[in-house]
Amino acid sequence: MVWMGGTEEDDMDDGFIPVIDGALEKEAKEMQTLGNTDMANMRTDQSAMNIMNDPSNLKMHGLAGMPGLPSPLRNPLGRIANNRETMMMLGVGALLGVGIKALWDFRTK
Amino acid sequence: MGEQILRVKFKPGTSMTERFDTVVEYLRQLIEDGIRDRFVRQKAVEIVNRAGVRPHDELGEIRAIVKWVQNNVVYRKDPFMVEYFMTARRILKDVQAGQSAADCDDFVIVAASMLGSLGYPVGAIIVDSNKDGVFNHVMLTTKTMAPTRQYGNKWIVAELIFPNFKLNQSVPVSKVYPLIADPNTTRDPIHRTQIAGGMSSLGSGPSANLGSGYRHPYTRLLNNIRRR
Repeated sequence: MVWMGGTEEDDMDDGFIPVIDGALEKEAKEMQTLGNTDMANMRTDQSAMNIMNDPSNLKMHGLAGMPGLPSPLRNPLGRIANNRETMMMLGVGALLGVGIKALWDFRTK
Repeated sequence: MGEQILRVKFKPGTSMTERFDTVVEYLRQLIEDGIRDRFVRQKAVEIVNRAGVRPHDELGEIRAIVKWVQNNVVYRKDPFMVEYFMTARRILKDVQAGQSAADCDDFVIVAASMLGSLGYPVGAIIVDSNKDGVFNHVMLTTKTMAPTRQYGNKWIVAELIFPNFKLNQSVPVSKVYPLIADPNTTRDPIHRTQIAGGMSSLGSGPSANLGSGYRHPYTRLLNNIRRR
């Protein structure tokens, strides 16, 4: 294993051959379709992502506990989310109201 | 020094496990080095700013970097029987100079380095692009810090060598091997370490002969691991 390339700015001995001939560039522009670079028929899917995010794969490679923030709340600010809790509060309020009215009636009438 | 190319060949007799460990470790370390490179971060910031990505738009930043790499880094295969690994800085400078020539691992090094420098968890995933269980290709993986409507908390995968591929689109694969970079590493950058090694052929066997059964180095290294 070796490092290639020099440390100097003007060091040309780094494996690159400079293109001096401007005609080459012109030639390349003229020949637009030299091969099969359009890859029009390449089949694609999301298998890489699916396998990557498979819980067993994440666990195997120790990625299950990677950093992530908690999911944002879906409810708009101020909206009461828990319907059961809301009904309980309304019920308690109604009972309290009826009780206070009964007490008031008992003491004043 | 930070603009050099690491050229990897192995001495005959080097075990497949040793070769595989070496190759994947260099790939991971070059990404980690790129994340810490100020030049790389400056380029990443320039790209997302030019793309008009708003602050806190994590998916927008990932898309901008991926698209830039897809459109600007030029895919060229490595020389026959040799594996080149470029530093992220070198790849970016080559693009600037109009001399870009990189293969899939280099694409991943530069994209992962830029995204890592912007604060995202990043890594490379080695895949079997022929869906035959033989690892032969490298893709980028990253994730947003906050969950997104589109991808939630999932790892996002990107095919970089084809400009028309969208996020999470890949050729059909059946196996992935993730290599996640550690941005907190404090080791010396890989280009400052003294690397010694042989200059001889990659090995014997049919793959060493021109025109008969050549397979990409990843294929050979990882296929052997798979067989074990």
